[in-house]
Formats: sequence, C-alpha cells, structure tokens
Amino acid sequence: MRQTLLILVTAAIGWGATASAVELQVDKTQKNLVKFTSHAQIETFSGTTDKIDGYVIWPGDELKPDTVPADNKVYFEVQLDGLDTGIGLRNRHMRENYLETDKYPMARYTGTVGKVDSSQSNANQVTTSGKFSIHGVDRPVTITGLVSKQGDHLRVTSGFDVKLTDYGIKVPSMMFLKLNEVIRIVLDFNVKEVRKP
Amino acid sequence: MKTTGMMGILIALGAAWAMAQGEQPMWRPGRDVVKLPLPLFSSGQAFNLPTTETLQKRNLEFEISHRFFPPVHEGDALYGLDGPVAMRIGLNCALTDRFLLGTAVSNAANAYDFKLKYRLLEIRGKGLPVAVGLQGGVGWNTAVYGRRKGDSRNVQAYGQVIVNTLLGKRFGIGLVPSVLTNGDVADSSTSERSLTVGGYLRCEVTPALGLLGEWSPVVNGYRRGHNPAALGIEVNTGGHFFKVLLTNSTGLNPSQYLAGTDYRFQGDELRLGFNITRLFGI
Repeated sequence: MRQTLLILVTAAIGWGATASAVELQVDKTQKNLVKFTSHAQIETFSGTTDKIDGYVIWPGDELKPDTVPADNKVYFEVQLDGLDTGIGLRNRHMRENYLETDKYPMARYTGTVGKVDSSQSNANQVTTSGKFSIHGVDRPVTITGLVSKQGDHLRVTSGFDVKLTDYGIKVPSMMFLKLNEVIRIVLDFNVKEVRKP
Repeated sequence: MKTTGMMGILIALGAAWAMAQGEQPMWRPGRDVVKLPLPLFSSGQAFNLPTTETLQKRNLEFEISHRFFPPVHEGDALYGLDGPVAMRIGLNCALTDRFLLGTAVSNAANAYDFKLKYRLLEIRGKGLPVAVGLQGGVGWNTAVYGRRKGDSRNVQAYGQVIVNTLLGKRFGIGLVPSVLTNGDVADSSTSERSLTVGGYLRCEVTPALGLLGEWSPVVNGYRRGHNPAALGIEVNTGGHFFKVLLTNSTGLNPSQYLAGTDYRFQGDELRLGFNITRLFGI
C-alpha cells in the first residue's frame, strides 16, 4: 500500500519535473520601440515609447520554432503614460482626453503563438492570436511578426492596425480636422531568455 | 488502505491540475513609472502673467499677440479691430522639461524681451496641488524718444514668483508677485520700481475651452494710471492656443504691463486682444 503511494508521488513529481519551459522576457537593456502613427488630411503625427514589458513562455527544453507547443503563452504590456508625440501639450491631451491613462494606464496583449513559418532565411514569421486590451476594452486580434536572432537576444518586429472607435476611444481632432480613426501600431523590441535561478 | 489510495489519487490529480495551469512566468511587472508634470494649467501664460507651465524638452513655442488700440465701443472701427495695434512676436524654447528660455519683440517702443522661466517645485497630494515657478527677464526698449538705442535707461528688469494651484479639477488659480525696475522707462528723472501682486483664475468649461480672468494690481512703486485686467476665453487644440480677451491694457511684454496701464477697466475703455501660440517639436 505504501509502495503504491510512493510510486504515485514519484510519478507526479517526475511528471511535474518534466514540465520545463523556456521563458523569454523583454530585454530592457536593448533599444525597444512602440510607435503609433495617425494620419489627418494635412498632417500626420506619431507617438513613441520604449515602455514595453512582458514575456513569452514556450513549453519544452529549448526554443524550437519547428514545433509549436499548444500551451505557449505570450503577454506584452505598454505603459501609455510614456507615449511621446514630440509635443508635451499634445501628449497631455492624448493622455487626459483620449486614452484616459489615469483610469487605463496600460495597453496589453495576451495570446498564444499559433504558427511559425521558418521559410525565411534570417527570420521566423510568427503568427499569434489573442486579446488586445486598451481603454478598458478587450478585442480578439491576430498579430503577425518577424523574430530574428540578434546575438544573445531575439528581435521582434510587428505591426497591426487599431480602430480607435472599437475601443471606445474618441477620434482626436487637430485644428478642427479629425484624424483617421484607424491608427497603425508598429513594434520593434527585443526579448531574451531568462533562466530560473 | 482506502485512505491511502484516496491520497494517491488526490496527489496525482493535484499534479495534473498544476500541469493544466501551464508554466507560470518568472516575469513580474517592473514598471518604470513615468513621472508626469503636475497638470495645473495647460498654457505657459494666462493672458499676460506667466503660469508655472513650461514646455517639454526640445519643444518650441511661437507666439503672436495683438492688443487693439481703439476701444471696443468705437463701433465704426469694427470694435477696435480696424485700427492700430500693439503687437508682440515671441519664441520660447525648452532647454529642459523645467527650464525655458524666451525672447519676444513688441512694436511698442520697439521693445525686446528676454526671459528665463524655471519650474521650481511641485507639491502633489490629495489636498491642494501646488506648483511654484520663477521667471526673470530683461526688457530693452530701443525706441524711447530722445535717447539712443543703447542708453542704459532704456533697460528694465523684472522678477516673478509664480504660484499655481487647482481647486477641484476645473478651477486653476495663479498668484504672481512681481517686481519691475525702472517702471517708467520714458521718464529719465526717475527709476522707481513697480511691485505688483498679480493673479488669475481659469475655469475649465471643456478640456479644450476655458474662461480666464486676470488682474495685475501695482501695490507699491510706480504705476501708470490704472491696474491692468483682462477677461476672455482660451481654446486649446493640443498644439495651438487661441486666447481672445477684453482688456484695459495694451502692454504685451512683462516690462510693459507690470507698470500699469493708462486705461480704466470699464466699458468705454476696454480693448480687444488675442494671443495665438503654436507648439513645435524639434
């Protein structure tokens, strides 16, 4: 009887021990960029920040792009107070009147990698699907990006469109001209593998 | 034995549950908190008096302001708009987020203005938020009757302490004690100082629209006939400010309005004026 119990416990522990995973985190020592671009009829403006953080969990002992584990996780967040349009007063307008960052300080993306295309020679095209959250509204999105190895870290570049009204964000106007309600978000950041101490 | 078997099953189920949860990340939110300036006013000046607001580093602010000489009640001069004006053109440059360098020229006595503004202190908290700034500058009047441009009597200097606070979220209040040297620049027989304790109140109607009142009484020293005052509106577009006002002063540079005005703040002596500013990033 005790022997049975011992076998079960050992099996359970062993099972848990085999559940290893690679974790990648945003490498803040590298140059990271999140940029949005908005077009009006006579003027285009953009905002940038390096305040991106988050992680990828890739079950398995190593990062193998040819097999995509089903239970991988992707999570990234951007601190919206850090967005800089180049003009302080415009930043303030954006924070206070449109993004309402006192109530919704972060934009977040939570998802999973669904497909990795390794056909390109110097980068893998990664397709993720998940939920993008901003201004207190969550919506499903699919985001495709390129991941390339750069020394000891991976560089991630990606872009996707956000329709402001889908997220309850008023469309800003500049000098009585409304901006386009769809803004383009471009990401260019770096992640690095971290190991358990 | 039955108990042991149950325990074994529970352990196995526990391990299975743990697996189903997936690997938990080591990542923890480590936010680099962005410290934003205390938002009390949006614009760097009320109508004439400064606020503690400075510009973001590497931003430029271009200003053009008019004060119309004919009073509003002179309807045949299109309420003063169809008449001569005092005009000021200025440029402010942010050396840091707190430190601003400004220059301007007014057609009144061809006066140049050079100033520095520093946002000294911010006191946050749940009570009254307070910001304190300092501004100082020099006015150089290059067209004083009977003097050369370089005459030292054409120079005026001023210093201002700026205290701003916000009542609720809509009422911005400013207090600006100021001192001006050589208040009556045109009179060679005196170099009397002017001490003023100016103030202003801004009421936010919408995020883009505010009502503004300003008063700058001279409490000691030289004063032209009356104390300058102004009432009006400001419209903020995020890159531009438009301010339209009724005032009894045609002075535009600090060295001009800090010494008072020739007109009373009453119906037949009020003038129209406007300030327009535009921000640029460099």
